[in-house]
Amino acid sequence: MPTKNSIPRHAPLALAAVLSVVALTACSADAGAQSQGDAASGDYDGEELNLLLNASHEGAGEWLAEEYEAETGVQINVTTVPYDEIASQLTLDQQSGANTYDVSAPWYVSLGDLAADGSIAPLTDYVESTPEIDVEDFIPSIWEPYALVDEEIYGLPFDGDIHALFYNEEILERNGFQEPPATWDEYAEQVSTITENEGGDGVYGAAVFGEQSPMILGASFANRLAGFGGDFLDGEGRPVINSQEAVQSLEALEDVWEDALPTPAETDFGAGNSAWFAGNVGFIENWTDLGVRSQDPESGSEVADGWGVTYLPRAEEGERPRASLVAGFSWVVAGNTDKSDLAQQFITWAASAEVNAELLTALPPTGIDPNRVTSLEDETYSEDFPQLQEVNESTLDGALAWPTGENATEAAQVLTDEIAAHLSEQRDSAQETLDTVQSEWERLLVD
Amino acid sequence: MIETAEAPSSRMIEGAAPPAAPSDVTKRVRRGVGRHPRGLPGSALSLGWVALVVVVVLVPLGYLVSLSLMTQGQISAGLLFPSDPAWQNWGNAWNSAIPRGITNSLIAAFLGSLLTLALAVPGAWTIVRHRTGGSALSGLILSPWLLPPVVAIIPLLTLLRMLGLINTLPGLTLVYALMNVPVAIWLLDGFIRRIPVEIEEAARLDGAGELQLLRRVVVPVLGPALIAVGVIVVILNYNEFLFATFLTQSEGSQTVPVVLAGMLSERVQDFGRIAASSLLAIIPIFTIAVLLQRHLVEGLTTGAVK
Amino acid sequence: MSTDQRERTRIPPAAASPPQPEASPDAAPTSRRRRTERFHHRLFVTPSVLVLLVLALYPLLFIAAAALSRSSLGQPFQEFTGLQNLRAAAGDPAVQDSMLLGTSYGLGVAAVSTVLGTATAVALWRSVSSGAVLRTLLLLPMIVPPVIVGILFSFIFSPSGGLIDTLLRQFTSFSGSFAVLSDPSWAIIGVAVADVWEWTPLVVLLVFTALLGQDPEILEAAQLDGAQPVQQFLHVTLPTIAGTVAAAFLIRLILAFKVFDLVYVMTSGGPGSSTQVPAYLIWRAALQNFDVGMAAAITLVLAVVVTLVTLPIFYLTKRLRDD
Repeated sequence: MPTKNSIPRHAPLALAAVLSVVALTACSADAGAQSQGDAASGDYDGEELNLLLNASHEGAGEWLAEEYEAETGVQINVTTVPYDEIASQLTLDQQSGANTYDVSAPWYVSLGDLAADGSIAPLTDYVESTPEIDVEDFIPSIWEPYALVDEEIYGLPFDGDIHALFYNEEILERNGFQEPPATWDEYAEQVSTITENEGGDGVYGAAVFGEQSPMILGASFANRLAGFGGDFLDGEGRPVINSQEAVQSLEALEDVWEDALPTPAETDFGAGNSAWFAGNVGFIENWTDLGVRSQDPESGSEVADGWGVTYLPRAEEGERPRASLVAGFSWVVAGNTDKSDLAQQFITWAASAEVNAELLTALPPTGIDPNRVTSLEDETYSEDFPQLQEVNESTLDGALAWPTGENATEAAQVLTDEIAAHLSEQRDSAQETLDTVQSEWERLLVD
Repeated sequence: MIETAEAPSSRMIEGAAPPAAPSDVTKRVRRGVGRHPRGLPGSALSLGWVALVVVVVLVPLGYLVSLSLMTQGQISAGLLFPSDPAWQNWGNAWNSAIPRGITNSLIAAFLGSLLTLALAVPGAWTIVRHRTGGSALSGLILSPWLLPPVVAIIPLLTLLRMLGLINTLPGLTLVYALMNVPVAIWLLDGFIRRIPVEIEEAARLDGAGELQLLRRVVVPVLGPALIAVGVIVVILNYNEFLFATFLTQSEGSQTVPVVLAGMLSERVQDFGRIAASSLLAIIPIFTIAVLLQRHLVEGLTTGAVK
Repeated sequence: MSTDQRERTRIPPAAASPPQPEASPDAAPTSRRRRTERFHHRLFVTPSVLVLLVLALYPLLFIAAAALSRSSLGQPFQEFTGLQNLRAAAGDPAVQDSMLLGTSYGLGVAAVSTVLGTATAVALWRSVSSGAVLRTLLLLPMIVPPVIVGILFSFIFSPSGGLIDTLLRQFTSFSGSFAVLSDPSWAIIGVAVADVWEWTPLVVLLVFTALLGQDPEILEAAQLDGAQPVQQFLHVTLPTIAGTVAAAFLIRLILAFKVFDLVYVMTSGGPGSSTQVPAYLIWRAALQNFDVGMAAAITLVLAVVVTLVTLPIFYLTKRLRDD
């Protein structure tokens, strides 16, 4: 991964440090991007910071607000919105001039559009002058897509969010499977067997996230694309979404469509997770934090200690696991905030390895996945959730990420729409469906 | 668009058959002196149909009540009635953002409605009685109602920002107040036409200026109509979703439809809690509607079709 | 001004007891008085005019400007692009499909609501005397917030434990899954059912009131003439309520054209694009894809479609009411 070299460090660190100390002592009201973040300093005691988060980060938001206030005296106000509204809410807030929000954590795919609209502020200078951010420690395959728009840094990775394959041990055993599937073919076979045997009793082979949203159906497709070794874009950034691998991925999704918990097209996080917690599905592809929640009886889980987790299947047995970055989130600073210093300090703290490590194992579960190498290797995490840690290690190298940059959100939406149309039998073959997407993507992402 | 807009506001009313004054209708209804044919061959069929309609109206609402008392497990198991009532759903709904959402909704709905009436009554009266603004105004007045409101979001956000009211309940209230002025004028139209002109002229002869006329004569005579139209506007406000999503995201200002829509995207599904929350949200508006049902019906029937 | 009043009031001028203001011999104060009256009238309509400016003219100008330029959500009016957006919108199959869907949905839902509503109103009129309790009952669907109606019908149609699924399993030998909202041809019907459930009561109330408002003497005369109930209904009742029925249809059509909340909650426009009604399409273009220029262009296309569809119905309504 070229990421480690992608942040030119022209300025000697010492100089940066001196500059920032000067900036701090000279005038703390100076809104320059140089001021140094030190979360523990009492500089901002009594100030407020407004966060816009997606609804599934509500728990994390509460945890962060409490901890940050205890450390700095800064009051954090968290507003949560549905996950698919966060970018438009932030943009409307900034565009209308209301400027309510100072910090947000949108889906990384929307960074390009947000940056193009001026809704989020570039962070390159700040990151380059703030060594304690420790860019090297971010999980390399996450850093580039979660932080960069072209060459400019706009975000700091917050929630890694890869999917893994969870399986219900009892259901697999009942149906005579000793091992979870290693390939997507095996997966389809096991799903079909379970549904055939137990579908009448309301137990299905798998919950397949199929609601027509990029983060739901799009994620299910991306998981398979990763498994088949495909990519969204080639090395030069040109769309390759009608590749052989992509076609196989769509067909693999089609294979389980009929056998999955009815009906995939209506299965969103809520429906899928609920069926999983109730012990009604054999498999679910989900964020690794599902494991933390599955062990938490408070969350209503009936599968505690009865589940396992493994890598997402691949095309062939024995291939190295490949992670799919389906729904990660990045910390950003709002474009028009007049508290950019404080906002930068906050996101530096919130994206730090220590905070990430604590969020990973906090109870009630926060839904946060590793963003750092250090936190991924954290001791508590490895003691409490060794399987999750192992799966997350697959992100260390060669993960599949969505296209980013301008129009990336619409591109993800187009793909999702076409796949949904195909799966509901409104389109012809998988190849033709993806050919359509390819030509749309060429229009959206290349020109 | 203009022509279409004209439809309900100016032309429809001039139907040849003068409709019975609302009071006549309601009186007849209340006395039960329906002159409709009784004991006709179709009656059994009619009764059957009405019974069916009652079932169709009530079953979904009853199902919602049933859901609100079931755990997710019972629902997935395909039960229609709770085997063991899960009252905790109601507790959970009560201890969520729902009560605050209801309070916010009620405040925005009522204040918005009062403001709407204050803005609409003088306009409606002047347009009906004096044709100020001519046919252009009376024709155009309903035009904003014809297209999906989504188109006005961005311009309105900019406006609210200029007033510094974004993400606040007063901001939403103001938008609601403005948004329903056209509908209120349209609904008031039929009522104003029924005010005998002599009353107004007598007051004018007594030396009352237009402002006094409006305050001392028109508004009191319109009393029941104001309640009727006011209630309709309250309900429209209470139910509004799209503007509320974008104008009230801050925790303190979210209205109840926004809170409910937020529940749908939670990571764990809880039909029971959502059903209980929905019912909580419906209760206040049902109460208002049942208490004021006569006004509500009259507002709808007199206002919408003249 | 009072000539207006006389024209427009149903009371003949002779019945107005006091002498007319114009009759006043003192001409100068009258004209001054008229001037102040006129000033007051202008003052009274000012709020309405302002509302029109804010809610109609200002958004219209904004939309027109956005449609003619490259406009994103965050940065409208970046550069003038002429008719490019409009041409793209009008030529986009997704937009065309959506307009077709919106129109058939609007007409279909309005027709079903009107037929069911009128039938119910007539049945109600024939079987109960006042219907006060029933009328209150009928109000309920109308006052449930659409978001909740959407949630409710999603539950009813849910393939895992929903009302329909459960009933099918309990009372038939059906064992597969019947998922209304994820079937490309049924999903829009599912939304329509919720829409019809919510708004048909309005038609019932309007038509029922019109039925009660019939002139009882004409009805009695018809009965005395020995008219059969069916004939009586066709020749006496139906013509009286025809105007109201048509007006109810028009109102219902406009409401159905604007449907958004139900789609948002129940199907998110899917599966595929099978429930992508115009309001949803516009919302998505502007607020999900950030393309405000395109959203504005689609809005203009929709305005044309709505006008074309409602205009004939509007004239029909007018004729029925004038006859």
